[in-house]
Amino acid sequence: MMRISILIICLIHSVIVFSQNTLKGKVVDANGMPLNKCHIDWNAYCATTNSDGTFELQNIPSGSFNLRVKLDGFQTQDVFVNVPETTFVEVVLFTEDEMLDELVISTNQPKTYNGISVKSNQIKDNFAGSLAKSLENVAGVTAMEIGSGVSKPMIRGLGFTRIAVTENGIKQEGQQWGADHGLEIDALQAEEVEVIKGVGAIAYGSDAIGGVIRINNEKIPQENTTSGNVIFHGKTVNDALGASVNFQHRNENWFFKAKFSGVDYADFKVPTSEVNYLNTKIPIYNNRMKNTAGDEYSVYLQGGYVSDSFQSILSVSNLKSKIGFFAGAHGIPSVGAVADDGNYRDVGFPYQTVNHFKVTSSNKWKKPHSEWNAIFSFQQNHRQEWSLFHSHYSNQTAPSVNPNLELDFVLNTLDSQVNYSFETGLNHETTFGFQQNYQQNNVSGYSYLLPEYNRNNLAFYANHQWFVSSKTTLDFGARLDYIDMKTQGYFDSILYDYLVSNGKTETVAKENAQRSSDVHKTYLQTNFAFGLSYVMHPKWKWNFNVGTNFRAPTAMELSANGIHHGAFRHEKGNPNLKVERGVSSEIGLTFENGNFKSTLSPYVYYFSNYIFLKPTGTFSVLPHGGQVYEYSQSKALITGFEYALQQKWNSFTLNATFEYLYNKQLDNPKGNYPLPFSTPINLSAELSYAFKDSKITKQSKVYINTKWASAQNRIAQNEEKTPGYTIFGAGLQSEINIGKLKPVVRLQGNNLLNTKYYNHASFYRAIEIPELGRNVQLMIQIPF
Amino acid sequence: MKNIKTQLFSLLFVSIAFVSCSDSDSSELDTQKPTIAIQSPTDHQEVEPGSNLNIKALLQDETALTSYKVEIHSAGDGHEHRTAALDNSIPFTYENVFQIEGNPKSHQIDYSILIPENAKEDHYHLGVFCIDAAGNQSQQFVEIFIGHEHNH
Repeated sequence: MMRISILIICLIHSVIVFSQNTLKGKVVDANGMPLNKCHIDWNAYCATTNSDGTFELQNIPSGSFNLRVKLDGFQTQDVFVNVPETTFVEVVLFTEDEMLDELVISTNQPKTYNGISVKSNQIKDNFAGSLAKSLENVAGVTAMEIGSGVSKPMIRGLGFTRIAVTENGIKQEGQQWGADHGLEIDALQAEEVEVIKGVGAIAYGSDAIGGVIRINNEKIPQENTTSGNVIFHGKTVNDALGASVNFQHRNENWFFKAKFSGVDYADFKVPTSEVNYLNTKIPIYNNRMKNTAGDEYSVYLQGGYVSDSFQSILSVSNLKSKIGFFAGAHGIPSVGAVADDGNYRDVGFPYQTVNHFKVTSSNKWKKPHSEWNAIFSFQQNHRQEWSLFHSHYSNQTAPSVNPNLELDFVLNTLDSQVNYSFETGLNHETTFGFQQNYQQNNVSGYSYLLPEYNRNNLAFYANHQWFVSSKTTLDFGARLDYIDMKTQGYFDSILYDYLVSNGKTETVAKENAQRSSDVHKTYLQTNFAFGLSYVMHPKWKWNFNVGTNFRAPTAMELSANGIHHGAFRHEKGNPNLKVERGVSSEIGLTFENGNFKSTLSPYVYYFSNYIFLKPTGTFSVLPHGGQVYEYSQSKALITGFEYALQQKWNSFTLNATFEYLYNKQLDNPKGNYPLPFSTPINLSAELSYAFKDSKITKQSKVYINTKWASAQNRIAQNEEKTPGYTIFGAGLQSEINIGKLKPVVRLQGNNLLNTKYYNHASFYRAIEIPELGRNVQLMIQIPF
Repeated sequence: MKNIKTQLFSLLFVSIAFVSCSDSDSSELDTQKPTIAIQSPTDHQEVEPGSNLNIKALLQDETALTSYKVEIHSAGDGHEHRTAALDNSIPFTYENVFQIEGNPKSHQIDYSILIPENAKEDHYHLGVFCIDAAGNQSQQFVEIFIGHEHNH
């Protein structure tokens, strides 16, 4: 049987070979410069361009088909040819930087998932301090703010460990520490960001339920070039002053990049004169949140070797920041601590320091139809909270070493990933992958919050893409995960003695003094995904995907027990939590006609056991305790849609996005409440006017924008309702031609009417701290 | 073009139908927090060590009250008012949780506690926390001074 099939294949092949054709062509870049070493292929036929950009495919059969043209650093393109009518093709490849809507031909196979690419220039256009905040213009993304310059991204109301943020393929760790921990990524240094909403579990595993924010900082500079730029920026809302420099060089095979950034900011301004913490009215002098100043410095070094068949890139980065906590809201509400001392730039107690260090080595072996990838990474997250020694327990004394170090976390993570992908013909691509992630978390400080833990995650996955036709792509994936989680118990004898001396029974004292318990859990998980993309019509494209996803319970969720001062409540873990599991599905529908483009993406997530903090209705015996919140599981439904549209009329462009989110618990005996932190219905729109280029200015535009959000009255148990709001902004930007220097100037104003409003996803909402007031921001970027 | 727009709107409509669920459930959910009105002590009231402190508060909820907690703790947050450093005074703390029988819509707290003779003279926070049947919680604080409040 086998022999017969081989014979048949040979016969078919020989028939094809009889109709021999030769196709010649040339590949150039957007400036018409020939591109060397481009890979051109169709089925088993392939060629590589010479130094003059030309190639030749011999002995190809007659027929019409798509040639795929690939080069690192450029967007892959499929070119339709009809042999033997076509004898010569000229292909223009655009760099990944160049905007997609400037492409004339874009016959790339569409992706089966909803991915939104954000180029580094767009991040600079929308720069708002943190990366999460800068991505807010992407439909479906919101930033959960936890103080000045600190924010966490959320996709469709899912945040924290329900979304994954990866840099060069490696997941950014540290989010497990809880809500008041931001993302240690310098927005100005991100070269390219892709927001993948929905199904991401196959390639990223646990945590990628809501989506993935994929940062790529491994863009390879073009051969024999040296370039760089300097950025200066400042803003009025917190008197921030910052600078960023980056430099890159490549000869034929070796390249090097260096990036440095620094920013220093003062207490931020809010349009309010008092906030409310535990019913204590805390005055805000001169609309400045006392002690919210800080700074952040980062360095990024990267070197690599690139050749046709092999590339290896080593990246080292370190980000360091110091951020004050609003003193009135840490520990005991304190009117005295917020008094204006005439200095807005100093950081006093309490404050946090964060240091994030990461080394990544990524390696690639390429053959025309297969590729090996191996990535190894070590990252260390070190976070400290400093606060003048204080205790709620009268019997606790300050430690002799570092008496004011309240909390200290060191999380070490080792990652290794290997995958192999190969093409079978032009129509099939299969990937097999292995991932390992090992974590160790150590804690110290006079206070206690999060347990020490060791976590090991091993995973195997496979993915198969089938390019059924130039219109249809199918995607199948499966993944197996094994997770081993061990948390270390901690008994707080100071608390025990305190509770006993206050007349609590031994049982109650023991229960509360056991701040975390020894928990050892293993989880075995299988997940599946299916994706489909279909080009219905040149103007209509849609994709559909459905998949299971999961998230392993975190150390906090399994074994925390005590007051979390960042969240202002007593939180209790539950060692019996099962892996959070869900099924999600979404549709992406894009219609594009000339100057009009619109994308609609409805989605639905169903969780059989969504993990969240539920109020128990029972009081905590701890001072300031309020009621105990316990991590519990419930069936839950999340659904909604995002709609984005773009319309151009001559020099005017309108961009608008609309988001609708609906969610609820499905089996809460007290009623099917919505989930906490649900994004309200919101709409943002921006109208811009592009000026014609002049001798001095290029690509100039002015814009006005607005964001409207409805009131959020659908709240979880014991959450606060949030009123709706409308805010306005405006800006202008231009590239200015002065001799050799061509600076790009961006001036923007946000919340121009200084509106007092609240973000439903803000932790500071609980103590009535509104969002930032009026902000005018200037950024000057000078390329060289 | 018109045809396309019609298609577009119908698709938008279909997708809204796809995601819209009945919202009728929300109206039945209890998201209203209980209210607390502390009548005694009053803000900045002084209490002598060794005397009785009368605690009076009115709790109300539109569905059902389940429990409340009264707590007194030091508000000495570096805001020093120490008069006698070498005495035997100790920071006073008090905490008590009460179940409210029969889940009424309104409940009057009225009882006294004895402030010990050796309670440290200081600023204190007196807090009343209250939870309703759905788990909604509210709290109210007043600041009191045990002993005599000294001028700065």
